[in-house]
Amino acid sequence: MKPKPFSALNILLALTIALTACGKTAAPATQQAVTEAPTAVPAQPAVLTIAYANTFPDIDPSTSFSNDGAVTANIYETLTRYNAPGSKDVLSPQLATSWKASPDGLVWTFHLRDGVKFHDGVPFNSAAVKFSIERTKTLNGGAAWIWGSVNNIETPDDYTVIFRLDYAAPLDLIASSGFAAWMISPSVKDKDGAWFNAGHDAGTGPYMIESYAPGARIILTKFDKYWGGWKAGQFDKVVLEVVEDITVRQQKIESGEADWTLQLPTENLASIGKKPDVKVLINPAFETMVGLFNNKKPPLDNQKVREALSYTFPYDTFIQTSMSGYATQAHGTIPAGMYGSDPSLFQYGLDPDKAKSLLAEAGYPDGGFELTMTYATGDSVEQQAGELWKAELAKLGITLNLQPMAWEAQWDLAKGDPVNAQDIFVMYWWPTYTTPYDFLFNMFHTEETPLFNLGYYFNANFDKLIDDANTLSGSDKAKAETMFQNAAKILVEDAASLFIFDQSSIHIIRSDLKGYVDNPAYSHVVFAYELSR
Amino acid sequence: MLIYLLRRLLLAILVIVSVSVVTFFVARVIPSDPAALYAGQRPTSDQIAAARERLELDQPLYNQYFRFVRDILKGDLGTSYKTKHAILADIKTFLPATLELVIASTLMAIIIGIPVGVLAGAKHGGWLDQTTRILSIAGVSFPTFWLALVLQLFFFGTLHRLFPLSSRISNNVALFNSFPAVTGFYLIDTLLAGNFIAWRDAVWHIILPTLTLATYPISLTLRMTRAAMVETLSEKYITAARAQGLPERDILFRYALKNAIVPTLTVLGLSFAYSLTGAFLVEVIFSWPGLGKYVTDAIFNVDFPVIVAVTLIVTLFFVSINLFVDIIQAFLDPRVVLR
Repeated sequence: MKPKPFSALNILLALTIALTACGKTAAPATQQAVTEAPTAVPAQPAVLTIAYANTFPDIDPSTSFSNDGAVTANIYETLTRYNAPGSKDVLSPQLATSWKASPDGLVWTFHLRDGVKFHDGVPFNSAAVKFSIERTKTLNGGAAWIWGSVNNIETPDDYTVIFRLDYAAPLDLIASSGFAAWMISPSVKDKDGAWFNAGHDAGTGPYMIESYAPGARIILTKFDKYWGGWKAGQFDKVVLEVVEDITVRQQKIESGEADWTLQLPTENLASIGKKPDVKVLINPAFETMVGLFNNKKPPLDNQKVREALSYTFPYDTFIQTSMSGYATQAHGTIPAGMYGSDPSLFQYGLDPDKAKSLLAEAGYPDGGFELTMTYATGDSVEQQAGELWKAELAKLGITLNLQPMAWEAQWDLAKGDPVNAQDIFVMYWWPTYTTPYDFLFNMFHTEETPLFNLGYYFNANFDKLIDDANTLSGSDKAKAETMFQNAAKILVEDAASLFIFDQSSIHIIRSDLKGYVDNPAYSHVVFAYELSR
Repeated sequence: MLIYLLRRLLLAILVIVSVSVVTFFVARVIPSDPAALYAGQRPTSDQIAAARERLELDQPLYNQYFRFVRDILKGDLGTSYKTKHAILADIKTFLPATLELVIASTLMAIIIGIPVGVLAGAKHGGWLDQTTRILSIAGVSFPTFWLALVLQLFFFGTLHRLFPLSSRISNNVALFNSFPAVTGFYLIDTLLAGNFIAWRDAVWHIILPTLTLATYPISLTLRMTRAAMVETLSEKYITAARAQGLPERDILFRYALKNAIVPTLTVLGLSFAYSLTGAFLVEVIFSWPGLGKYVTDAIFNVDFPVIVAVTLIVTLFFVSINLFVDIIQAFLDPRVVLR
């Protein structure tokens, strides 16, 4: 008798049963793990979950210079803290309680907070300040150059630090930087970046690293002996999770698996904001987009042509369509809400008639020239800006060639001879530490060899004005601010660049999260200590 | 046998050296300034100049290449320009996650693809054959990113969070049921720690990405096995076996499959290596912290020491797996003469 064939049906059946059986045993436990919000379990610690779109490449506090600032800001502290827009003062005391600059801005004295301990028990004092800044300067990575003016650090007693500078610099603002200004325990003097990136820390901040899975998440746990003390309702643990996929981030915030996230599709923000459990927060960001005009190459070396071009950009259409309305037209180069910004500063608008008459004055009544605009490959916002502008310019007989390039290549071209370089260089700018000088100096101060002044704007009066304002800002912030505002005005009058828009900072948080204040000086940082549920 | 092995090894080395030459030089001619990248986000001219000197980028290209090879032979894959991390350490951190995913999907391809392929081949033209033909064509044609999204939508959305959306373990397990990373393979580490809650969580997290990644190899294995089975089953020795009244199960899985599996193994070997890079996209969608996420960041940053190192590692896998498969084939099928 022929044996019964091993039927396909049987195998499939067996497989199905096996799979279902697996499913049945494993499902309940995991479903529980996924669906139970951390707070639903009694006697468990209060957990804050933050979903970021990118990894944290470097959590060494001396060299970190990326979105890892989100991690370091909860573990380490700076001497001063830059306040959110709308605050009474520009800075608040953090590990320094008071500070003073000499009138020439060359000597700075900081008085330190007493009774602060690092996570490893080492007391925080002037020696620790000296150690931290010197370690950062020696490693010379990330944003270490912000301390470039510091010649020598003196520690006359445990709670006083004196900085002697080579040239005047606003050390109080520098000390508030979200990068390279963190105070680090002297006990790590033999440790390198690899030690930190293995998940160790040495800060004074409210949280310490509990565990670190690179590329996945960092879990922070509260530092019981934090000098600021702890109140009921604050979070015991903070999960900083990396969720690269945009739709997954949206699912996580909507389902409550995350308490805070960013970078969701702008077209979905309106509908997300209507949900009762979720809030969409739109705040100014200290970031601006410019189209630097090549001031050294015809026809843009002619101020009339630059002015004319400033009247050809469709600011409103661009912001409404490409930015879905989540941006504001820039008032010059200093972003709205920042120290030194000026909401009354003149804005060019779209005005083809005015542009035409200015072009006629410059000797180009019917346009008839070509311009090349470079922008970063893959940046759809820059690309759309170019395309909308191109259409407007075509109406005036001007051809705009859009040239997408890898940032490196774009930058390389611009650093060469201005005469062979692009006509318009589109880029974003944001400050390392929050000062208008960062914008004015880097993009517009005279440079022997171009580095970031990629519109090649050279104006000795402007240079002097901002250098003086920078020196003065240590001793007279109000007067310095007026000088910065005047400098920004010069740039607008000279039409040194196309000032396009100020970026908005969009964050999505759970409605039950209390105490969240967006601070653009620390871009995309959540200070977990300030929050509760 | 020994000569064959030696010859294959030499060939493998030749492949790796060629790949290293090509990737190294291609990376160097890309228009970008590695010194500027190394110097950081907002470098000064001095910092860039210092970086150029430090990285010896002012040296002739061939010198740079020899230095690169010398470092590799010393076990030093260099440091990332962007993060300044030692690349070898980074790869050790991220490779296990990718390997875990790729091994799981290859196992899935073997467990599903081979038996179903055998049965489809045994009754070719039957309903199972027809159904799997359509499914396989779909399986090799669906774009990975689309499939991943559909799976996420179905298993997380429609089935009310049956499977999690992303990551290797849930936050709750990381918070309250953590386990030491010994091998980097979470399915093993959790068992080593005797932590079954974490193990179940890890299993639950790996299912969707594995399914996404495995769709292509399952379809491929299934079709290859089926085709080879159809051919083998028409051989005279099978007819002889049937005439002797051997059980059909033995005929299919012992006598026929042993011969039919040879081409499938080659395909499996290739698809394993292929999945290493195929996993990159899946990793991004499922926030799976593996080599893929690591290298895509590097590509965006033109961080070419990392790109070159990862390319070499993948090449190494490709070459060794192929060698391994060839040897297995020889054991399985004596007709394959090792020359």
